[in-house]
Amino acid sequence: MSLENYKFHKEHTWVKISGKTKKVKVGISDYAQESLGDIIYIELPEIDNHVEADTEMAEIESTKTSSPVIAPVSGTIVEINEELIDHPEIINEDPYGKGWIAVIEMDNPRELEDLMDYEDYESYLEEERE
Amino acid sequence: MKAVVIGGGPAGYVAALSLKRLGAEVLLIEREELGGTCLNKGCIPTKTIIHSLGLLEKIKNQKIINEINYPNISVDLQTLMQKKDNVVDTQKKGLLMLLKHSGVKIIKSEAELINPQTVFLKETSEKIQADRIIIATGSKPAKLPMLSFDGKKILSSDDLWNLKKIPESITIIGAGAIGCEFAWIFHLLGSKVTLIELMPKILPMEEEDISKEVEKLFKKRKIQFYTGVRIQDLKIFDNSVQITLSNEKILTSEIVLVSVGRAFNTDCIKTSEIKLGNKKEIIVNERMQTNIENIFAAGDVIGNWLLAHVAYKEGEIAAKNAMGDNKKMDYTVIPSTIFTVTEVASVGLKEADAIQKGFNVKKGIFPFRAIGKAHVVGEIEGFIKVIADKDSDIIVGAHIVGADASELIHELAMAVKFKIKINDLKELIHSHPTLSECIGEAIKDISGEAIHKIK
Repeated sequence: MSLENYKFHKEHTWVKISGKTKKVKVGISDYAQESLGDIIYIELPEIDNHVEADTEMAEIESTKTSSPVIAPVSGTIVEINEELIDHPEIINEDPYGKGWIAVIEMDNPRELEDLMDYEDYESYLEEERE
Repeated sequence: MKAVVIGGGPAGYVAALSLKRLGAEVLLIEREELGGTCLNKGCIPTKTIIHSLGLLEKIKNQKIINEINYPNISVDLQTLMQKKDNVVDTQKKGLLMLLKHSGVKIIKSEAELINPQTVFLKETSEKIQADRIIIATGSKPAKLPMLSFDGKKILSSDDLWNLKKIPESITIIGAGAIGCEFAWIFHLLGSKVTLIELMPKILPMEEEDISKEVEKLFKKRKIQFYTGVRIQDLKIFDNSVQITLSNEKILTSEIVLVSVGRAFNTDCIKTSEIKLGNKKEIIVNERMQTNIENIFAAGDVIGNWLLAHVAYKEGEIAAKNAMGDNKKMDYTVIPSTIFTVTEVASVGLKEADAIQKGFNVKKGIFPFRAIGKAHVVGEIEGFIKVIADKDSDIIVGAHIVGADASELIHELAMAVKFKIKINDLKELIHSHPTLSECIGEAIKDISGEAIHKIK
């Protein structure tokens, strides 16, 4: 899978940029889902709520642990992935595709510049592991 | 010494037994059933039902049943009620025997206190003189100011026991302990449940994090709730009730349960000499004595904690002091439990209260899902939170949401009550695999030493 349009936050969330729109899909990385283990519940954000970059926007529970999902960018929640309510395991199965969490309409697209592209994220993970 | 106890619930029967043990001649007057609300309409029946329904739910969650062979395992309301009645009857027989064997004389009658020495029995129009009187008449469901119970659509928790069929839908007004327990019961019975609460969170009296977790547990089970809302309008139709909330949401349900607190049974006091409070509760001092020297009161009727185990203690203290002792009631360490989706239990201070009282607060939190036994029993939700004071190295409060919280809380209650040093508590080994291990880890987490906590 090509992750060309994806940008990564150091707290293991991603945004998917499509064209010039301010609306971006967000989700958690493969590394994040792998570390969490079997995901059994996600507390989704509410539509129209505003989220701040670097703060909690959702909460994921796995059989091992529960963990906040950190917003990669600031903005308004305009869509949520309702599929996840009954099938949170989709995040484990397809974290970059069907396991998206929400669509955020960004306040300031320049925030994207603070995020890493996939290659940088991979080397960031390498460093983390060391 | 002749003593009369009015009310045969937890406070009354314990008071009667204690008085007898101390040598008094004791008359216990009960107008309905021995055991009071607790045994007949409250603690025991609800917990019997929650336990039975919870067992079924747990079996389903274990995923060990061949659902093709057993697709429709479900509850039969009549059988469930029969089981509840059996449990209540056994307890009641036991209680009756206990009282009889100890020599307490029991009279079934409505009673009135007509002056500080005289109790009037309505059944026989008999006037009984007593040296000491203990009033333990309990409480009943409180109604909303503009809305009376009709026993058909607007129900109290007492009325629920008369339901002949499971309602398709129910709106529960008030998300305290009673409201949340019944929300869970009706959810398990298959009703569509909506819970509404005036305060900003469900279980308003509990620790912030605990309420938040219970809200999450409800959301996961799709039990709907609205907090911080008022009732704007309520219309009763032939087959439904329609409630309009202050957030303009309109709720329609077959029946409504009003669980907004308790009202105190003080109508039996026909003398103005006894001091009552704003809510018509009896005012007592810490010795459980009213403003009249020879009259004591205990249990719900004094409007304090409204818990059976507190009533037991108050009944005992009232009896001892009535017999000349000088015991004081200590409310600082009282465990309390709620039986909902999973159990909730707490003792001592909440975090915010501890901070406000000036403690140097440090907390330890440990989730059940991080220990093996939680997975063995298939109940991994929830956590234990302990509130510690760093300066004195003791625990000042503990809060649990999760499996068997009602049993687990007592180890922590002991730590709070006897001010055991955290440094010593940390050394206690908990057997493996048990849910109690979570207590050990939560205590260690105060100093960041929990072994199984993922950083």
